[in-house]
Amino acid sequence: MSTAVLPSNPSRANPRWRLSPGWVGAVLLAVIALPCFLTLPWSLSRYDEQRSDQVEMIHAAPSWSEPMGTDGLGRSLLWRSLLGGAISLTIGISAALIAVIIGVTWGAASGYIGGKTDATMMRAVDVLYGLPYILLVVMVSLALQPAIEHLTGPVLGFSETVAGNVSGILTLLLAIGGVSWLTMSRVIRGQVLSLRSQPFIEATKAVGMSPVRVFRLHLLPNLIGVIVVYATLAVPLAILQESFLSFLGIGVRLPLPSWGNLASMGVKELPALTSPDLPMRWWLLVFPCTLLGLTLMALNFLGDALRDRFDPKRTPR
Amino acid sequence: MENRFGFKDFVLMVLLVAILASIWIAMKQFDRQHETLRTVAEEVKQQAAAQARLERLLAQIDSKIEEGGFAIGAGQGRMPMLEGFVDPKELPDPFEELVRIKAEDDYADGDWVVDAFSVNVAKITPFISRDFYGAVVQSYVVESQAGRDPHNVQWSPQLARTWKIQDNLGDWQAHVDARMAVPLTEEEVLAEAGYEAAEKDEDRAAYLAKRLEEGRLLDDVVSEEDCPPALVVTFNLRRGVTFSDGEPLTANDVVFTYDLVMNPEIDSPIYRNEYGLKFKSVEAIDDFTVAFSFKKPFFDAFQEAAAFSVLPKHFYGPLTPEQIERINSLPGLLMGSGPYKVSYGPEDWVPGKEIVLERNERYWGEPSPAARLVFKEITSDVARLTAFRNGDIDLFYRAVPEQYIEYLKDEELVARSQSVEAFRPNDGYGWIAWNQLKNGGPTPFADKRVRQAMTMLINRQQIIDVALKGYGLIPSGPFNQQSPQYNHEIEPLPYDVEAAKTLLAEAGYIDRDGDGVVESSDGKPLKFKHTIPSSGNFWHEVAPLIKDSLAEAGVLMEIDPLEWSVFSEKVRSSDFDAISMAWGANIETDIHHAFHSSNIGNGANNFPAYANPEIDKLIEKARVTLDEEERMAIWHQVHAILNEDQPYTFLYVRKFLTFGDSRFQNFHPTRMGVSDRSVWYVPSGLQKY
Amino acid sequence: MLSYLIRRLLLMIPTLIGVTAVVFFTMALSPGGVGGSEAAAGGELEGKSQQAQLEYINERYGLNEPLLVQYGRWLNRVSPVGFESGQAGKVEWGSPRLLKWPDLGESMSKRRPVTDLYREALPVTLLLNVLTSPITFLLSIIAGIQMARRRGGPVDLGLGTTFLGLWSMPQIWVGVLLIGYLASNQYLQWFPTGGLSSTRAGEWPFLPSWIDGEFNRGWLLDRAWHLVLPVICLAYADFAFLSKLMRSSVLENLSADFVRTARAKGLREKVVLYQHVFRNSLLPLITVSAGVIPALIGGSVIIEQIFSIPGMGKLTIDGIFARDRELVLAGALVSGVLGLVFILIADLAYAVADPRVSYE
Repeated sequence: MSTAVLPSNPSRANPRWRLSPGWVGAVLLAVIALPCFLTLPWSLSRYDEQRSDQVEMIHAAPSWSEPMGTDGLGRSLLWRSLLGGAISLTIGISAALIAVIIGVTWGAASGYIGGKTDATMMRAVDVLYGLPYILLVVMVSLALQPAIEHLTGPVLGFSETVAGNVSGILTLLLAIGGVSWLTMSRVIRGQVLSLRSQPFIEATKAVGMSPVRVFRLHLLPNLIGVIVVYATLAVPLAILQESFLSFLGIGVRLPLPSWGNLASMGVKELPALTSPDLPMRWWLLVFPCTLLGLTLMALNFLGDALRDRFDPKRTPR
Repeated sequence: MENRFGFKDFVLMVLLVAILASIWIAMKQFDRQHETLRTVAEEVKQQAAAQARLERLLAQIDSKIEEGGFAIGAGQGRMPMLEGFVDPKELPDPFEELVRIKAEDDYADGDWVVDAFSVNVAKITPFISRDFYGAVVQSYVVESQAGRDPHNVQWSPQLARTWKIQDNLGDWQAHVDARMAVPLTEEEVLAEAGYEAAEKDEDRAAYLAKRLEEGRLLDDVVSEEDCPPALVVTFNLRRGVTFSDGEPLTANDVVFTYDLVMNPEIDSPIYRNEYGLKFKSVEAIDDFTVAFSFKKPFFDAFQEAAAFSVLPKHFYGPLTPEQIERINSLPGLLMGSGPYKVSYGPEDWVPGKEIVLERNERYWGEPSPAARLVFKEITSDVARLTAFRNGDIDLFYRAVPEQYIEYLKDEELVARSQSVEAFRPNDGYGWIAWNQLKNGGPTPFADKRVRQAMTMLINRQQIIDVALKGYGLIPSGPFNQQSPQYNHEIEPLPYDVEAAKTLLAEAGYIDRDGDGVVESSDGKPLKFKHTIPSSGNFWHEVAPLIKDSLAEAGVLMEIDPLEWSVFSEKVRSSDFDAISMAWGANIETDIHHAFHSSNIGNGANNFPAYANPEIDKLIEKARVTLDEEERMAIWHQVHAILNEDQPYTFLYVRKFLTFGDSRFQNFHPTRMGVSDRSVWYVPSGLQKY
Repeated sequence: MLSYLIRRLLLMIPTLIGVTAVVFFTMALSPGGVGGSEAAAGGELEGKSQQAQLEYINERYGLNEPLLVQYGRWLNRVSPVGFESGQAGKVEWGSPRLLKWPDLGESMSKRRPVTDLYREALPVTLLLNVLTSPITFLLSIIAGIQMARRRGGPVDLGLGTTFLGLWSMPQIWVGVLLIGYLASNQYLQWFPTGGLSSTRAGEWPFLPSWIDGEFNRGWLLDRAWHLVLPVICLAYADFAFLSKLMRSSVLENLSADFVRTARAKGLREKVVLYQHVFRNSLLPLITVSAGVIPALIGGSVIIEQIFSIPGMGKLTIDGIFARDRELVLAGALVSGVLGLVFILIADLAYAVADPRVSYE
């Protein structure tokens, strides 16, 4: 019975092309994400196409011409979902990237340098950590908003409408990213702290290696597993947080769609559940929620697989 | 390794913590029971005291009758104080309906009415609480001099037995004219608070110059000590009314309540400001007569005085700093003379607990059937509807159209409940305000024709059909269709794209470059931002519809949803192109705050900067006209001009939609929506609680 | 150790001042401004009344003073050492106090002492979390170990997928579904729709009992019954993350040298797992728990909203939306203190669990 626990890596024995969750995740992600981004030129112009004057287009059920149905204003859910997906994914990936960069730098520096610097840097994290998440996001976005509006408006010279939308999304992803790096930095610091007391790092010090080299050659390979785990979790987390903020009405600003916005519109259909006689406009709920859920799962599967590949102690080669 | 903190120890520790926690909770529970016992004992003592008083009173009456000093049926003539008062016999009996239903065959006393609010109530202390739901609760506990009869909207006496309205306009006008003729002196300005408040010397000088130019102000004159009141409303209170703790209610309590509200330390600035502008004084003439004097003639003077709630002096007073602190900070300081009282005790409710009112057994009038009124707080719409379906709550008051539609579609639910839909005279209206003055310059909306075109471009029926599911009306002005203020001769502007285009063209907005967007003569497209509150779904549904209809005539609109605090800042600083909200209303609504030009700027409510001297004059005149018929004629004129000017596009008036459990009898529509829960009863076989 | 503890505790003071200062100034300079929605709360009021109302608010909360003065006043009020506070928190320089009760001020939007508001909301949130955290942690630890033991097998895959699936479902959706199916008389009316107690529970005995031959579930059981759905809703999403962390950490340790040694010694697999690996694998969880617990205390707006529970999340959100400075600052302070304390505890626990880390 002990075979199951043996450290031997079962996946190593398997051929590469085996149907693993990682591949499923990657394919799924590609299938969802690629159309979202590739159709951007069209979805941008069509997401807000209202047909409220055509009664048959209001809350139309899915059909050949409208594969995902329409909403209460006759807008095509397909186009809205595609653009919403692009927006949600952009927010998720950018926020995660920001979180990883800040978090790893901060955590590794803090853990490696140690002493007073470590204490100060960690206090700063503690400060932010202690505050409620929402408070932080709102604070960050409040603080950034004027600067970003200035950037998108006068500096980059977007037209007023575009600038408004871009600055909204930019603020949101910076706020989410600027808040999500805390966990990352604490975990990285913890790892570095325990790595630092291990003989091989002590040895690098004795050799007189520069800290940057030590970080790149010895710390990073040991940290990559943790980083990847957290980063892959950070993407879906950021997407989820965007949807959460959308529920609260402080996410992506309507009428611009995001999966969170669309899902929160869909949730309003749920009361129909409690009464059997009520026609339920299921497509409003099912499509955005499924897309959101599938993407989150795909990202997680992918992250899991990446971890197996990048983990220094388990690389098959 | 063996004595390390392992998995088993972890489980053990969790168990230990759980046990400790339950013991602690158990102790709390015993405390609570003890508390209940204590209050019961207290109650019994109070009741004994009340009974004792009653017996004393009976004994006195007995002795009076024996002496022959009590002339039965002597009429009012014997009491000189009642001169000029309305004959109490002419006033409606406030308990007529209760007496009638109590004669029904299936009438039974008891049962509860369980309602649920959709928000969390922060405070129920009268005058301090500012939310609508707090006021609902108070209306069962605290009474005023008189209230509106829900059937005919007429005033029916409550605490007052009768009243008189003294018109002192002659004296008042003479005094005011004489005083206004005296020029304002420099010394007087130097003594003004505004002068004192200015800190820098140049500010003081500027203030002095400004005041000297303005001259004597009417508001200052009427506030002077020796200025006679313009109006006096006097109430003769009922004898034998007691508060829920048994203490009698007298004119002193009315005066005390006024003093309490006007005390600058009490956290009720809104009431204080409103009363400060209107009331000159509230005085007790004797123990059961109280007079409200007014600084200026106001059309709603009687309403202000009659609806003034009366709080017990012995409970809320004396106004020491400690007591004021208590009144300001305790959320549930609520006691009155009404048919119900707070079951936790008059100071023990805290937010988060459901509000339970129980019948005030010492109530002076006809007791209501329901033994308890319960107000829960269910913040999720789904949960509230489910709770109603499950029978956890009995009432769905003021449902939104979506919920009502859902309710109607559920046949089983409809079968075991009853509903009321009605347009009420005191429901407000939703609107879009067109800003005429932004950044110091006129906007396109400064042109009346553009505003008219906007209204004609907006398909209001569609908005009502989509966002209100058809449960609404299109108003043509700021008054409610059910109110006598509404001028029914005025039809709302029609939805007419062609006519609107013509109007726009007249105003100089024509599509000059063929891109489908209309431009002004200098080539600027007609483009604006529509600012809406981002919370809730309603405006998110409405705004895109408006955007669509405007696009048909080549007008570009951008939706600008803003969080409430940012939204209100924009409103106050008039920093918007077009903005949407809703105003509340009364049976007779004063629209001075929103349409009079004196309320432009400084964060006041005429934020679209609408100014029309004719409207100003008419509103001023209507406010001081006491004769109802005459006043309504003026309001009708106001209505016609506003419809012509379209400072707002008046979007909708909502229908009042309510449904409740079918076990309640006497649940029927009234002018004010649905009959009050205090007159519902449940036949004994159907009683639930 | 003791000196380390004292140093850490003292360090909290500048940290907290930093937190509150950031919150204070961001709020003061943010669009909408402090108490912005309060000034607009007048509704259908005359311009004069509205002006008076605005002045009253400025006066009452000292909003006319320079920002630094306002912040100084606030600090003085909450600090246990300082001066008496007068009207609008004005510092009474004449009356210094060595020890005073911190005063969190009055909430502008709710018009009540902030302390009272917290006294009502905090126990509710704590109750929810005291129930939820052990459940999530316990289940995640067990699941994590099992998944690591059967790595790549159906249990690992199955549990992993299920947890991820759960995680991927938005809370609001699950909450509404739970009410729709488990609390509605159309389907299974097993649980109440919301709230913390039944309407009559106040009159019931504490423990389940029989009254007049009829079963009465009693106050305690009633409360537990009301908490089932919120706890499920609060717990389900955290499994994915925690169990994944536990799993990877167990795997990490299983491939470590000391495990090879232990195995080489001939120790039974169970002993290796539960005595050597288990304890070491808890380390990342401890780190994470320090962050999870204060976050939990912040409350969950969505859960509170769906189940009508008056907790901290709702309070904080209301405060932020209303730009209610006192409420938000107090929230920052309270969660800041709690967060710092928990992090300190986690650091100490870290030292206890990992002998290599020391704080001397």
